[in-house]
Amino acid sequence: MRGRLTAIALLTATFACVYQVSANEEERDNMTLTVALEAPMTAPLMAITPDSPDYNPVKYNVRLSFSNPTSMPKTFPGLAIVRSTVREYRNTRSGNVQSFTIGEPPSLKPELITLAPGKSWSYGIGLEYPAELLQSDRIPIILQLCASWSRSQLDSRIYGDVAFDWAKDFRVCQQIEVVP
Amino acid sequence: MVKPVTPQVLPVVQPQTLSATAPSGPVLTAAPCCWCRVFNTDVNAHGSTYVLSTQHPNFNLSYKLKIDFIANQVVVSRILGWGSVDPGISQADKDAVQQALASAVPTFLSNNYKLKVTDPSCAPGFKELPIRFEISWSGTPSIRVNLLPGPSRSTASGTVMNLDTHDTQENNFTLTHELMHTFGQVDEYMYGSGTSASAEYHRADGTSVTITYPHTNPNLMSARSHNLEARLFWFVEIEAQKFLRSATGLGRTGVTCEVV
Repeated sequence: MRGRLTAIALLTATFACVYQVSANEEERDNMTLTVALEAPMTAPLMAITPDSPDYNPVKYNVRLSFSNPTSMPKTFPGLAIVRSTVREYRNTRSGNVQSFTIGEPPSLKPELITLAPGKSWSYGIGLEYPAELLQSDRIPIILQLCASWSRSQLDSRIYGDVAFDWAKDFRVCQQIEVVP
Repeated sequence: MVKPVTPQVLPVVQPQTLSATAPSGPVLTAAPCCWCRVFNTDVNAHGSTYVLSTQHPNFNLSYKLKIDFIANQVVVSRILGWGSVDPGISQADKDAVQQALASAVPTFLSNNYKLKVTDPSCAPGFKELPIRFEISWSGTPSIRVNLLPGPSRSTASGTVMNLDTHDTQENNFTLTHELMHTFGQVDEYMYGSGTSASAEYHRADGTSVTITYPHTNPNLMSARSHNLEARLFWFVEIEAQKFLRSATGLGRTGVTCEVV
């Protein structure tokens, strides 16, 4: 894991306020995919600064993973989700926030991923350079990175008639210390 | 024994008086060298010169432009070099990305549009040159390429491309899309929860066209499509015209360039 800290946030536990969890056990099982944010614990400022010769997005990467802890296969529009996931960086000292919404070009057709029981799928969302936060504050600084997605992002023209098991709002967070 | 030669007396020729009037008939003048040279230039520009987006940032850009009136082509080229590569990536996957960027991607982008160069002082008055792309991995790179395990979010700016091993999928769609970012082209799809956005594309003649999206004509920069709109190549006419009008180019302000 190369010193990475993996933060796992169960959607149903962390964001019960975002959507209601049904009491029906079968439906609850359909909802459950585990979303996790894997990020470095620390990152040197120059290693995340794109214009720096020391820029290293490979070593200081962030991945978003989806796991199926259930006993049933789960199908979900994984690529559509991760391509429109918003990254939000918050300076824990000042409270200032900078968001990144740039994704990847959308597909013109449904792209579904099926996770077998116990399996995971992950996508590198990258560690951006939140210039507004890093240029206005002294280093070291602790950033809270949150990745969030809303099901309203799904293109109903593409996914309206497509059957899949899971597409729930989520927001998972992790802290990263940016050091000199 | 040498025989003496009698010297000849040459007749005296009277000088002629030239008429002040010009002779009749066509007058030959030195014609400008129109379509007979090869021009090479290093382009250093800011992406906002080409297109302004309401959501996509612009970057400083550098690449090479060759306007070759002899081989009849315009070549847009740049040199790539590896930055950091995830140690878990196989040599085969790395080679696949490198070879696709060196061959398949520039081949796909080439010969779709032509640069029409018009010069009223020439005969013929215009020439159309196919626009081609060349990517090299040898020499001093203008772009560093970082390679991550796929799938990952790929990005590109004026100096860096962050790619992944899945970017060769879909006929190199992502590689091609990201490469066009390095020439200043912007995304034409909506970011995040936005409801509308637009991009103002500039032309060499000083006009511009604004594209509002989401739109229903998918292209390389708006969706996972390989359609190539002419506006994605207008940066070539802007730089070619600027250069050909300059003293190091043809030096004639009447020269115009247009992607057709």
